[in-house]
Amino acid sequence: MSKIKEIITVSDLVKKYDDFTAVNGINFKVSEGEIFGLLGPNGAGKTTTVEILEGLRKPSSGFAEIDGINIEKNTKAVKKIIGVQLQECSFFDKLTLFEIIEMFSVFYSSRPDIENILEKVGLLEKRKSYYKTLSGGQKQRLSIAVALVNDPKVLFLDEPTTGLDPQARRNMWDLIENIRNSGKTIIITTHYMEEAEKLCDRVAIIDTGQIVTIDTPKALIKKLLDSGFEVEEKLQNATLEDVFINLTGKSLREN
Amino acid sequence: MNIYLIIAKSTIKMYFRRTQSLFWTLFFPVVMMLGIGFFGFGQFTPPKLGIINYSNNYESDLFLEELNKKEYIEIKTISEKEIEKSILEGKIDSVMTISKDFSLESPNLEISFENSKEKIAQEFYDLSEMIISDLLNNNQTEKSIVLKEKIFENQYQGYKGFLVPGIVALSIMQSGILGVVFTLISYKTQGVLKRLQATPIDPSHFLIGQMISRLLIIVIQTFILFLIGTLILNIDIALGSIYAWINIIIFSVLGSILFLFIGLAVSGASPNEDYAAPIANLITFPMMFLSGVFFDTDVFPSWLSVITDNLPLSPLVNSLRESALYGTHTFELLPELAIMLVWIVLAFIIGIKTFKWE
Repeated sequence: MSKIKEIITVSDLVKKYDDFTAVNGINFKVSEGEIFGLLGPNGAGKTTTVEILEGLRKPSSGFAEIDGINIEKNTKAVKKIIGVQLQECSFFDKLTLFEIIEMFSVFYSSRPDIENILEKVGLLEKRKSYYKTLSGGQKQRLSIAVALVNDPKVLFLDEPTTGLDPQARRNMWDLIENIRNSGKTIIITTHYMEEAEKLCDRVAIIDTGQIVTIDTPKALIKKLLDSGFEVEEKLQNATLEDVFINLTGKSLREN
Repeated sequence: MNIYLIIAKSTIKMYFRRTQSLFWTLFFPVVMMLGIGFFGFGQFTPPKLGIINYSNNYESDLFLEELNKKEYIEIKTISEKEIEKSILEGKIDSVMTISKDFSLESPNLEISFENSKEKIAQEFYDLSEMIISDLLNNNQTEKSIVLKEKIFENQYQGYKGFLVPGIVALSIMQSGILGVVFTLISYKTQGVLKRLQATPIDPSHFLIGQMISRLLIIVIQTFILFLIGTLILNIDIALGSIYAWINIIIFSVLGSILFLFIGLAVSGASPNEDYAAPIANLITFPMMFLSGVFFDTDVFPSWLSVITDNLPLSPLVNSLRESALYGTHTFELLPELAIMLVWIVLAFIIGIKTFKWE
């Protein structure tokens, strides 16, 4: 394996609430330029882990750093080099997309080409529309646009395709791959396994606050098959989603 | 660009784009002002007569006793010094001076009135004549009741003059409390505040920026409302007086700060958005009626006015009314200033202690 720079290191991370341990000793490393997936059922601790990395929560114990900066000790410096797309987050409803990105640029003291960012996420024609008029998929893409204002090294995407229709989801996958191709590291959480399989270089499966396994999707599947696992019905070469996309096309329906 | 600048710019833009907030903070108070001002509910109150009694003899007591029996007028005993202020504030419509040598046969009475109140003064004149002639069993009396017009420098502005500063104060309270409560609660529940926390700025900058923008909006709104009052309702506001201007700026800024902090405290103290609106209404609604917005708090029993005079809205209503109508000197409004400062400190402490970002 070629020597790749590690940009995120998480070791023995624990987050305890009064009567409940959300994250219970998590370790992983992410290499620069990787798309790293955090998978797991609801309440497994994915979002808590991500929010610790984003500097939104303090860990009870353990250690995490991004690009060599300790998150707990130097939260502000980390926030400056990461882009964040939060789960269930909205923006100022009566501001235009341009104004929202302008505002966040000031918060990050950066001066990006706002039109260019909107172009990247496919919202350039919507730059003068109010946030509240956007569709679900457009809101998610704006959220990513906002996360790009500081040209971050690492981008955190927390369930970016939840609630989107198949067209919008595919569009989002293309966007995420494009962003990765521009050299950014991406941490993504998702409930959709085909999404993880399509996008992620490696995934960590988390349950009850602990990492069950980490590997590439292919290796994980191979391991399962090697252990004698068989799919009950004969493996199909296409899914119902493929049928759906084949019949309804890939073009987005929101504009 | 500066953080506060972009927040102020955005907040003010959003304010003008949100028809709902414009309705409650501008349109609604204007409609209320014009509605009540034009119909002038003030004229349905009974005629009020101020009495200055220099005689204190049996016959004058007899006369006053009869006068007091007339339920359709209101009698107040006042002193010489209070005449001008009472007339200007509309607390009395005319003054009856009973001279020292008053007797029923020779009733030396002087009724003075401000020039817009001639009709009412005439009624008092007729009434007095009637009472005296009744007391003398219809014997002819010497006509010594004098009706005298007095010119005062400032005129009583009628109920609308009383009302406009009250409504302005009310709208400062409404937009202060409701503006903050509803925006902060919605930012909180929609995750906007959380997203701000993920940026490198200290989120309290955002809060401060919000407060400054709201303050600007409220001060602008205050001047618009006074302007509409002057232009449309023809109130002769004492804006020629420099003190009126100084006070309106001081007190509208202080009032805004006060109610913005109360809004902050309410949004902090309410466990979730379902509680915020009821709590905000619980605070604002009683003050609407207890702080002298629509009628003078003189009508309250003294134990109640001890409470009502110290409610957060009362000093704002009083100071704006005093300033706008009479151009009162700022020094005379120091008690109001003090009450407001106490509330500001209190609301600030509660707001800071209870406010949660999530």
